Amino acid sequence: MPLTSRDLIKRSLTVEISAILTFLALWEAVARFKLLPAYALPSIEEVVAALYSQAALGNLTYALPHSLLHLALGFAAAFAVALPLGMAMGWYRTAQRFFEPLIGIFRPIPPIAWIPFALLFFVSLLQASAFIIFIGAFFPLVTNIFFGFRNVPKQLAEIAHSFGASEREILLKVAFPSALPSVLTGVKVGLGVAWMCVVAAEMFGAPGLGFMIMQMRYVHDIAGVVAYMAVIGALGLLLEFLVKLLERKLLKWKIGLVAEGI
Amino acid sequence: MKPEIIADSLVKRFNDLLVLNHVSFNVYPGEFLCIVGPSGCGKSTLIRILLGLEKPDEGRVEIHGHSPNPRMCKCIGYVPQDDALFPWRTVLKNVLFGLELKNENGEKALEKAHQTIKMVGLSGFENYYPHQLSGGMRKRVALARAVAVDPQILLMDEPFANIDAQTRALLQVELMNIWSRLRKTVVFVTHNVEEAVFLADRVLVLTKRPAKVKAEIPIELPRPRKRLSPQFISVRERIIRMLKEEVSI
Repeated sequence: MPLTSRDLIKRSLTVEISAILTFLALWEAVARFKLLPAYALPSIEEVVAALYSQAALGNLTYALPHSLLHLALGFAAAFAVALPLGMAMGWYRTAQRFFEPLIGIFRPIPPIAWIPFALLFFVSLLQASAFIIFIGAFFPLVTNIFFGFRNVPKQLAEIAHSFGASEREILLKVAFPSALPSVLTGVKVGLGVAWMCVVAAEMFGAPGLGFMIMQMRYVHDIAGVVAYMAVIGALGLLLEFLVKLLERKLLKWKIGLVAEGI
Repeated sequence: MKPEIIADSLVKRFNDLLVLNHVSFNVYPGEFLCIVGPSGCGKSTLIRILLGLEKPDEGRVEIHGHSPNPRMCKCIGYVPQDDALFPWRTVLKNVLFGLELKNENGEKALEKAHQTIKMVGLSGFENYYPHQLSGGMRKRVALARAVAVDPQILLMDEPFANIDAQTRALLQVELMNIWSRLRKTVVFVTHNVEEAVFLADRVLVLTKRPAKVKAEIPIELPRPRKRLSPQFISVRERIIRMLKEEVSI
């Protein structure tokens, strides 16, 4: 029987937790025995203190919702463009041939390279940073959605056809559910990349976690830098976990999804 | 009696490969027709032409006087070679699929689906997903899905292939029971001669590719048929000999 989302939460996380503890112990050992200079690697204690003071100053609580807003705007826009585009490319050969070369050219350009363009083109910093995140999320989304619709099993479409389904009905009742696992993979990867782009998207002054990392760097507060890095890492983990819960809920029909661990 | 399906001199080529070479036959209302032939002879292509999934290069098909067009004629139920169940739908939802497309929803459709599921012996499995079912159970769901919309004609393309012999024999008996209750017109493609003799009113033997009709053999044995009766064995052997001629030439 497939695991439900509740099982996933309840499941013992012994191995996972020991991995994190091992990492923290190594970090603490390197910092305590001064294997790396203190200005390059702060101790856990210093990072926790920096995190606490950033929270107490209100910096963290100010930056966090801004970053989440950038993520939400950029990702939502990317999904809104990638879904119809990926569907069209997967379903119509001509659409695939038209868009594939364009995607091929644009995909290798890293989101950071778009910053000057974003600053020129968009009036507000909010839009500009959402745009950088859009670039990060868009390509994993569109390629996975395309893949999902390209690989709809022909026999299933033919069954629908034999029942007299129209093309719209085949798309809705056969292609979409069949492509859903790939769409969700796109969401998972796209969201991960989008979150990684938060630092790049806020490098040029839009408030947020990325901006705070740059600020901490300017004042040579390495503990502060690591504190914000840790927040970004922890939130990324949380986001991925949420998408996995969604996956489990929507794809409980899928064989092997939950065969061995996450 | 007026034929329900007329296949008139069908020719089909895939590029330069001639698959069907003027295949003609009629199917009469309520009849169970089995089509046997050496593997790769174009049996599946024939079914796909009847369904309107392929167009013949020459010749024509008439079903109730129309050329096959699922949009116009929703009177055909199709059971494909691999069961092709929708993996994201439960047994019940799979059976409801055709009814949904006919805009039959609510209590009546549900009632119909439950009845059909009961008829194929899957009561209690309504909420299972296909990957949780055995091969034989999946075949039953595929049959239920096709029958639920109450089609006049059932087209079955080697529906019991890849099933162990015991389950296969059982499915054949169940199909006979269902057919004698519903009296659909059935076109059943198989390469298993025993299966054909067990099921059919008439067996159409095709030659190897390019397929022509080699013989039409009415099976006049009373039902339920005994696979070990001398008459059964003699018809079976006759058809097997015909097929052997095709393979050994």
